[in-house]
Amino acid sequence: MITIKDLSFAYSKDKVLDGISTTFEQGKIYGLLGANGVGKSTMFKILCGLLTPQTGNVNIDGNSPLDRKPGFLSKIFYIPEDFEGPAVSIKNYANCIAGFYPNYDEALLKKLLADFEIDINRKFTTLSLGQRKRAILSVALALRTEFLLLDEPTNGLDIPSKLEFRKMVAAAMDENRTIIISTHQVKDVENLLDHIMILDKRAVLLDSSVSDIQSEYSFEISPNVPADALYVESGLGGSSYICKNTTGEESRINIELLFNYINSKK
Amino acid sequence: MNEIFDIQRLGKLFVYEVTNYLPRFFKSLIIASGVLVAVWLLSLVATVDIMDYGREELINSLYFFMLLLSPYIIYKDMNNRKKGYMYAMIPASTLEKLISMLLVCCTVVPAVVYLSLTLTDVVLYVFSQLGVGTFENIAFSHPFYAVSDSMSWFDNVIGVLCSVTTAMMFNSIFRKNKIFKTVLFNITVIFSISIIAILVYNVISPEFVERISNWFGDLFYSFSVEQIESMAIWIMRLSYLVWIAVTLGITYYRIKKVNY
Repeated sequence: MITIKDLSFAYSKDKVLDGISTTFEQGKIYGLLGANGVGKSTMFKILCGLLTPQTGNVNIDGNSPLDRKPGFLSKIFYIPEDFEGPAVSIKNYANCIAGFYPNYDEALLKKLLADFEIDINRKFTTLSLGQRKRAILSVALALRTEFLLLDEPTNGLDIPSKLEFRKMVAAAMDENRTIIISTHQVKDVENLLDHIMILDKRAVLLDSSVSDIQSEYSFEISPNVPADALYVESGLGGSSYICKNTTGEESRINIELLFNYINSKK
Repeated sequence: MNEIFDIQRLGKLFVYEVTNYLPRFFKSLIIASGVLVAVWLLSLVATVDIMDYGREELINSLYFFMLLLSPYIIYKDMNNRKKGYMYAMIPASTLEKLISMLLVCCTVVPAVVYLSLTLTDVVLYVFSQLGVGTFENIAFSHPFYAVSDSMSWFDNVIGVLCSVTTAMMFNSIFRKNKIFKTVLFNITVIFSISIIAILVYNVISPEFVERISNWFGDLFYSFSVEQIESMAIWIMRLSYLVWIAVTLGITYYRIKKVNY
């Protein structure tokens, strides 16, 4: 489990995170949503021990990330938004790092790469951005680390790859794993998340499980918007709106609508 | 799990670094070998035996230069804000990362540079035997005699080690334009020391400096030349060893604490 307490961070005078506290439980896929520059990548770097927070602390399964201990590092894998990759083949890279990760599954890597239609013998440097992302995502999933942090994983992916990405992440999930996906392209992670956290500069606007959100709100599309709608967006096929869930029936979450609604309230 | 040192993990890290990072060095090796070839070609055009007389010195200089450059090339991204995270997140301890870096820069690099330069020289020698040029023999370089021929094997080794660990330290301190900043830093330090020495001598107290030098003069006269030579060697060795410890300590701290 990841526990964050009172976390603050600033780049010089530009405060990005301010007193944030939250937990990430095992067996769940978290969506860390927010506009550009709100501190999603910064939070990931702090979770990995790559940045030192000004105040507060992070505890990951009893480890402080800042210690960068091998035991901790072998449990976590992070893919940044602009992953470039080493100048070696995927196969060589995977073979070299596999020894550090006790749960590495080579057969899974081959399967994932085949699903993504990427040759294992290709060098990272010869791949396009989308291919590189798919390749490193395959490696990351095959390493089977307990914590997987994906920063804007769908940036640069084409539409079929986005679908494949959702399938793979969902298939890779198990009860010992925590996957945190940071994105501002909220539609790309729809139907994938168990928990949604919406970040704004300095604050957490929403930190709630999908089932809690579904219990509290109803997401509808209709030409006739009820008077008690909390938030409305007009479209060609009718208006999408959010209202309080009074019936107890769960509707499918429209993450983009929820994101815009939460941001409109701040 | 031993979180500080594990020999098997060190082995995996070493293999990882040799496989993933060492290929960055090959382009520089080709350039270094190319310098040998270029000087040889120049000697052919100029019809002067530059290569036969200065070849060994040239090879030794290139060898030493390549050793100094190696940390900057092989570990160039270790503290890069965008790319360095991959190095930081390799599941190995800071001590293992430092030892692996030292092994790569002080065993693998000397071996591959030695091989590359010697092989180039052998090829040039073969050409000269075919009637192109006038080589009389193969100029095998001395891998551990890069500092000076007049010093012992041990002193040369710690001298080279000292230079390589200094390069490792500066590589871990500076994030961008590393070589330029290292040169600039060293020039600044030398310049500052010179200024301070001049100030001490001329401004603060010339008498004091004279007293000190007289004291040293008297001290030296009480020893034989051999004793002074021996003392100088031991002082040099000690200062080299202290400096190696300092540079490794700073590099260790930087690997452990650098932010990305």
